[in-house]
Order: sequence, then structure tokens, then C-alpha cells
Amino acid sequence: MTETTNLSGKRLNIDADINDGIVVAQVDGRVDTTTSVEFEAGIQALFAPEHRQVVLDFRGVDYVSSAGLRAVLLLARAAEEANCKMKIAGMNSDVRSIFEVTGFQKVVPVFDDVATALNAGS
Amino acid sequence: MNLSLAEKLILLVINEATGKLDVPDRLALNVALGGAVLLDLSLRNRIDTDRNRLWVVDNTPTGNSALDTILAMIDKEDVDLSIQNWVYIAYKEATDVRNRILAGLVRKKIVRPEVKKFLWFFNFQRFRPQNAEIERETKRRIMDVLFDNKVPLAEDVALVALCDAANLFPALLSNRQLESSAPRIQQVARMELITQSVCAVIGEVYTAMSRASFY
Repeated sequence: MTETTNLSGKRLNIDADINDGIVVAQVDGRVDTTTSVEFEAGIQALFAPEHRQVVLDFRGVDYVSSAGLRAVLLLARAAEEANCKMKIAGMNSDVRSIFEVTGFQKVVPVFDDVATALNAGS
Repeated sequence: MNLSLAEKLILLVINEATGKLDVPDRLALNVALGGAVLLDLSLRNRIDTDRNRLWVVDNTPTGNSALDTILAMIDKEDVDLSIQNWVYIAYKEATDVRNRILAGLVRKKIVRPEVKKFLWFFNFQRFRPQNAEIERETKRRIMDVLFDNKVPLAEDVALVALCDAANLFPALLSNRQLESSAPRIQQVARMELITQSVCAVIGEVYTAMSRASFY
């Protein structure tokens, strides 16, 4: 079963495809102070017991600030508590570099693309 | 009680027995205090940062005078400066920030001020913690981050990173704990861009001081 959820905001858009317990959430826009609450709420809603894996497709994310990183941290903790594996795929080089500088790729597994993230198993 | 990071940092260095601020590295603590204020503003969604700059997103006062003084300074600046610039500016305000924080802790009845005399005419102010539970809870949260592999909360990340920058861990942990938690401290400390800048500023100030003493 595939279901699409749209959690649109002004500067951030989240579209989630749910298939057999695996969620791929396409995130578009900026993740900063103005959107981090919406980002957190939108993704956290996907951490349901029946969803064992949530892959955030970050191809459409052009910017992540400190507030955005904190939102990712909070989501990583929420995923851990919900026993759900959260991964991030397809970050652009700027976003990837902020993850590398802060070591966030050790908190949330990061992949080049969604297919690789899905193949990496749950 | 919900305390700011700067308040927690000060509480961690108050020696319960003497009431003195037991600071292993005063310069590092002062820079870390400046960083703590910026982190508090960031956690309260008043400012945001990226690798290149720091800017105000909401100039509404927080009600904490130490934080609001720095918030007003950032808000007044026409151009966005780097985090490192602001850590340095906040460090220059560290004495004022520390005094405001201590006054706030006294007002909240978390510490009690005492005046000690030395040689009949020198007065020294001391601060006696009145609520050991707050300090214990702060230390417990730090220990949880260091010795529990759970993903840490943002505020706990900031506190661990500040303690590391201010070189407080040798006083907070046993040698064995220090050794076993070193990789975790390193991992957590780099998660905050502001504390990365705090460490850079501490290094720069020490370098400048050693150059000045050389010439």
C-alpha cells in the first residue's frame, strides 16, 4: 500500500510515501528557525509503530541552520524511542558539509541517495 | 527549575565548601560563558547560526538580563557577524554576564551571598548553594550524555560542549571516567557550532597572549 501525505508549509514541504512499513519523506525547502518546528512535527508524525524505517529524502533541502540541526537531533532521539530507523539521503554538498563538521552523520546514517539508504536495510 | 546554560555553568564551578568560584581556567570559563549566553539565545529561538554567520530571528527579550543584554547588542548590529565574532564580543562582556547571572541565582534563592573579610578591610563575596538538587540534576544529565549511548537532547549537548570548552571535566569526573568518556565528549562537543567557535576563540586569545608576552 502506498499513501502520500502532504504536510506543506510556506518555506518547507514534506511529502511522505509509505510502503510496507517503510516511509520515504521528501523534504523540500530550508530547515532553519522559521521551519524547524514544522519540520519536527511533520517528521515525528511518521514515527508510528508500524513504520520500521523512515528515510528523509533531502535532495530538495537547500539549507540547514543550527536550529535545523537541533531538529534533526530531536528527531533522531524520537526515532530511537519509537524503535524506528531514521536515515537521511541525497543531501547537497553544503548540507552534507555541515553534517560532517558537526559529526551529525554519526547520529543519523547518511546516504548518497534513497535507493542506497533503502538497500542498507533496517 | 528551568535554568539557563550560563546559570548551570556558574553553578557547576561554585565550590560548595568554600562558596568560591572554583575555576581551573578563568579565560576558558569566560569565553565559555559568552558562548553559553549565545547558546541560550539560540535554544530560545532568538538567534540562529550557520557556519558563516549569526543573526537575530526574534528580538523579544527573554526576561533574563544576561541574555537580553547580548541579544540587544546583536540586534543593534547592522551586518551579520560570524559566530566567532560574537563569541569574542560576548567574552568581553563576561564579567558583567557573570555578575548578572549570580544576581539572578541569588534572586531565585539558588545561592546565598556571603561577604568574607580579609585583613579587616578587604571584602570578598562568596556564594553558598541553597539547592543541591539542581547541581545534582545538572551533573546527572551530563553523566547520562557521557555514559548512555542514547541520542542526547540539544540542551545537554550544549552543556557538555561548554564544560569541555571551559575545561571543567577534570573536576567533574574521576580519572577513569575521564579516560573512558573522552571519545564521547569529543563527539558531543563538536555537535554545536557555537561551542566550536568558543574553542577557537579560547585558542586565539591564548595565542595572542603568548605573542604579547613574547614581545
